[in-house]
Amino acid sequence: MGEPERISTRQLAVLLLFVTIGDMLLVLPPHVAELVKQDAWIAHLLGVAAGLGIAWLLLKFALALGSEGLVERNRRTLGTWAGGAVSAVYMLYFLLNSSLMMRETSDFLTTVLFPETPLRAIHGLAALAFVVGIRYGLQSIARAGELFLPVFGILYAILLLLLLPQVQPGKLQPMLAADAVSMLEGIYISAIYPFCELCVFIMVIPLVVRRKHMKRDYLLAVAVGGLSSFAVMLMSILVLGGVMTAHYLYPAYILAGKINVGHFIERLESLIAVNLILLTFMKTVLFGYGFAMVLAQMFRLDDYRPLAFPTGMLVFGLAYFMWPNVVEYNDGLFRYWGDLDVLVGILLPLALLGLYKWRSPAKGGKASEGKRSTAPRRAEELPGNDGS
Amino acid sequence: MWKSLLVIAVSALVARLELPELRRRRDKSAAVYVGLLVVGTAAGITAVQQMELPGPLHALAFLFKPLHEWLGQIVG
Repeated sequence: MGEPERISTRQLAVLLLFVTIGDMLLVLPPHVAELVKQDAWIAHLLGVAAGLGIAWLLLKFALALGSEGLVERNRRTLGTWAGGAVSAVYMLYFLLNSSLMMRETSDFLTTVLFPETPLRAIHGLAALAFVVGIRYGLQSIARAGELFLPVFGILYAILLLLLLPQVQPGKLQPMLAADAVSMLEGIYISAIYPFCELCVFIMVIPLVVRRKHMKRDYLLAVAVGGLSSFAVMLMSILVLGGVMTAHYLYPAYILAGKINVGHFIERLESLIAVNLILLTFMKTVLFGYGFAMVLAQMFRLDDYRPLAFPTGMLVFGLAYFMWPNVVEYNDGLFRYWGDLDVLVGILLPLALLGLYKWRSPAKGGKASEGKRSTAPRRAEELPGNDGS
Repeated sequence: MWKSLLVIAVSALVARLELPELRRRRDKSAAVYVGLLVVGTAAGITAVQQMELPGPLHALAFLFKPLHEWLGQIVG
């Protein structure tokens, strides 16, 4: 890598906040509410608690990689092919997630704000900003995040505060009515989707300037992000009720429409839409960065930034044929995305952490010892890859 | 037709601007760039032509469907 980029712990926290909330305000409430109706907030709260565990695992994994980064470390530990396969899984995941975010944003926009605008036009504009973001690098993405944070905070606070008059506590009743299986599934969904996607930070954390409080700040930022999306979930149950939250495609947007302060402040939907676009955009760019970074490291390039334009082109195309329409995504493909999240967010990090642990004692007397043990390890890693 | 040509033209223009600098580098930047750009342009063309292709998530669904059916049988 040319001159190494560095970001501060504060910038890391901001990015974490954006990724944790990300598109979750859009997609999570209807899916959880569909399973457990008015108990969705309980499922979400427990999901955040479980998600902190996932976030902690990912942090541990990222720190175990050291300054080498994911690709180098895997190449050294697993050999060229098995290590390359693991890196390729992450690369594809970052690419797909980036396109998915872009498509979710444009689906949202075409559904509620611009029904006449073709998807491709929105994708084109988004891809333009995306290319610029990656072109300038992680440092600039992080700075943009810092810049956007107050905007996000104010809009978010407006949404929650102005909704307070509409709150009907009765909507929470009957509490704990959902059966155990649906409840577990609700917890699973709200733990997996937001928190496994934090795995993009294994590409970011090696670049963070180390501070004493990094671990604490990391978990704090993740917790704040999780609780922020929890608050919107709770609000949509309190204002719309469990059944209506499950019914609407984008409850957060409908929620903004409910704001009405003395018939004077009303119809704030577009403000909230701006907020949602901002959140998903930050996530799109960060995942695009992850993709370009893994690709550059796999081919040992000096710099990932020149790859910005081809990446943008690819994401522009992929975002279009991700799924034919939003209904197919919500009803069918959404759950399979969670499996991939589990694979890259829990199973692979666990397996790799175990491998590193196993490998490191042999470090003292390596040479022939190390060479002999690479072959069985390869054989073991590959079935773990497609079997999970 | 003209839409595909537009995508190709945009790609070619950007490559014309960016490639000379990459080719001076000693690593494989230029090769990776061209490879990714070709794939990207193909994807871009399918998008602007609104071709109906099975998306990448359908492959995912195909891979994970047996797992879900199996889990569904266990949970009931």
